[in-house]
Amino acid sequence: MLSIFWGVTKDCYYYIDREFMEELELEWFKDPVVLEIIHDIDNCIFESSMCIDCTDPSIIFPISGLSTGSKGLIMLLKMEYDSICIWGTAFGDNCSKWILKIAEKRDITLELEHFMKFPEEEFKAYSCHSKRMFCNYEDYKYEVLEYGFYSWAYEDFEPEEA
Amino acid sequence: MLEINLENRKFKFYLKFYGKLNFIFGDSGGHKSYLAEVALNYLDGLHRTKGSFKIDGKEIGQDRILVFDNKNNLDTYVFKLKNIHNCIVIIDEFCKIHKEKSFGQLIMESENYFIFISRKVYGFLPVNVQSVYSLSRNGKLITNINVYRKFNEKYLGDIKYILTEDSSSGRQFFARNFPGIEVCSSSINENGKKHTRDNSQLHNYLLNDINNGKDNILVVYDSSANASFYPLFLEILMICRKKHKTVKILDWESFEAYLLALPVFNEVYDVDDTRCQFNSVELLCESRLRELINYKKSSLPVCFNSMVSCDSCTNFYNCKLKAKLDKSGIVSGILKTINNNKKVI
Repeated sequence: MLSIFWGVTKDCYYYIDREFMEELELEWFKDPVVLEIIHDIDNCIFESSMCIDCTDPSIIFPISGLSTGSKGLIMLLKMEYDSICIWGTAFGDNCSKWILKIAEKRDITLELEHFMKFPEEEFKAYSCHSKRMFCNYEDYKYEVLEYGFYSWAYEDFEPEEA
Repeated sequence: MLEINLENRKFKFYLKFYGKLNFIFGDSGGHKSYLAEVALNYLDGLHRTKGSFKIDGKEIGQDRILVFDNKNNLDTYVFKLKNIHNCIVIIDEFCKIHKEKSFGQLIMESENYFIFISRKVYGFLPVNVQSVYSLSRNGKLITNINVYRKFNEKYLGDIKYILTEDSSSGRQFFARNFPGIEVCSSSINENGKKHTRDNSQLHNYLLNDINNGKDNILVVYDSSANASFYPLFLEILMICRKKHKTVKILDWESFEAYLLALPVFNEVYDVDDTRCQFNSVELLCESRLRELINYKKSSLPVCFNSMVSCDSCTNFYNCKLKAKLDKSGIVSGILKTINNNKKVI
C-alpha cells in the first residue's frame, strides 16, 4: 500500500543515489520490470552491464548514471523490506505510475515535499496526515492545498510523527 | 543573464538563466543531476569536458563557479557561501546545505547566483514564476525551458471583487482607486483570531471566496515571488472553471514594479535587473521607490490615491513625484480595462 506523508523523517531513504549503490545487485537487471522502468524513465536499455541510450546508442553509461527516480523505483521493487519510507520529492511525476504499481504489493511511505502528480484513475493511497485512505485523487489534491504545501512553503515546518 | 555552456562526448548543455534564484526541476531522467556532474567535471579539468560560464556576456573564471553536491559536510558549504560574492552556485537536491537551519537566510543574504536542482521550490524564497525551468533534450543538445508562464491577460473586464495576496500597499491601492469594486479585507478570521493575509495562502483565500459565492474575481499577485505556490493556484483555477466562476489574473512582477513603470517614473524592471544583489524584482523595486519617494510597503503613500490632491501634501521638497504627478496616470495599462470596454494593445 502507498502512504503519503508530508515532510521528511530521519529514518527515510533520502540519499537515494548512494543508498542504491550500497544495495545494488546486478541480478536486479535480469527482471523485465526493472528493464521496463529504465526504458520508460531513462530512455535506455541494459546490455553487457552498461546502459545504452535509446535515442543515441553511442551514449553509454554505467548503472550509477541512471536517474535518481529510476534508482529509487528499482530499490522499491527489488529490495527486501516489510515497509519502507522513501523521499518522494526525488521522484519526478513520470515515476508516480510506477510507484502506484509497486505499492500494490509493497508497503511504501512516500515522504513528500512537493506537489507530486499521479494518474487520477489509478490513484490509491493512505493519508498519514488525515489517518485514512484518500477517497480519490481529488481528496489527495485537497490535502496538498490545505496542508501538504506547508512542507515546502515554511522553513520551520515540522513533520508530524510518522 | 547567466549563460552556461557545457559539453562532453555525450551531451551539450546550453542554459540561460535570469536573476538570482533559479530552479530546475522536471521528470526523472531529464539529466538534471547530470548537469551538476558535468559542471564538476569541467571544474576538475576533465579532458573531454569543455565549457564556459558567463554573467552578462562576460566569461567568469572557475574560481567563481561552485557546485554543491552531497559529498562534503554542511559546514564546508555554509563557510563557502558566506565567503563568496558574484559567483554562480549550482546546488544539487541532495546537498546537505538544504538541511541548514537558517538556509533561507543564508541564501537571501548571499549575493550570488543560484541554480537549484530541486522539485522543492521553497516558499520562503521569493522565486520568480519565470525562474523555474525544466531541461529539454533535442539529440545531444540540452536546453532549459520555462515550466510556468505568466497569464499576460490583455483585458480584465467586468470585475466585482479584487483579491490580493497580502494586506499591504498593493491592497490599499485597489481599495482607494477602485471605490466601486469590493476589495478583499485586510485580515482573515481563522479560529477566532485575526491574521494578516499571507501570499502562501492565496490559493486558499480564492477557494474560500468562490465557496462563499464570489464571482467575477480579479486575483492580484506578484509573479516575482510566487513560483512556490503557482501549481497550487493552478489547481484552484481548475476548480473555479468547473464551478463556472469567472476569475481574471493580474500577475504583475510586483505592485512596486507597476508603480515604477507609471509615466511619472517610467522605469521598467524585470528579473534580469535584479542581478545577484536583489532576491526579487519586488525587492529591487521596493528599494528604488524608497530612494525616490521614501516608500514603505506597509502603507500606500497618499500620492497613489487618485482621489487625493498633492496640494495638501507637505513632502514637496523631498518628493520627486509631486512635480511630475499626473493623477489620471495612476491607473494605467491593463488596469484601465477593469470595467471598461477597451483592450490593452
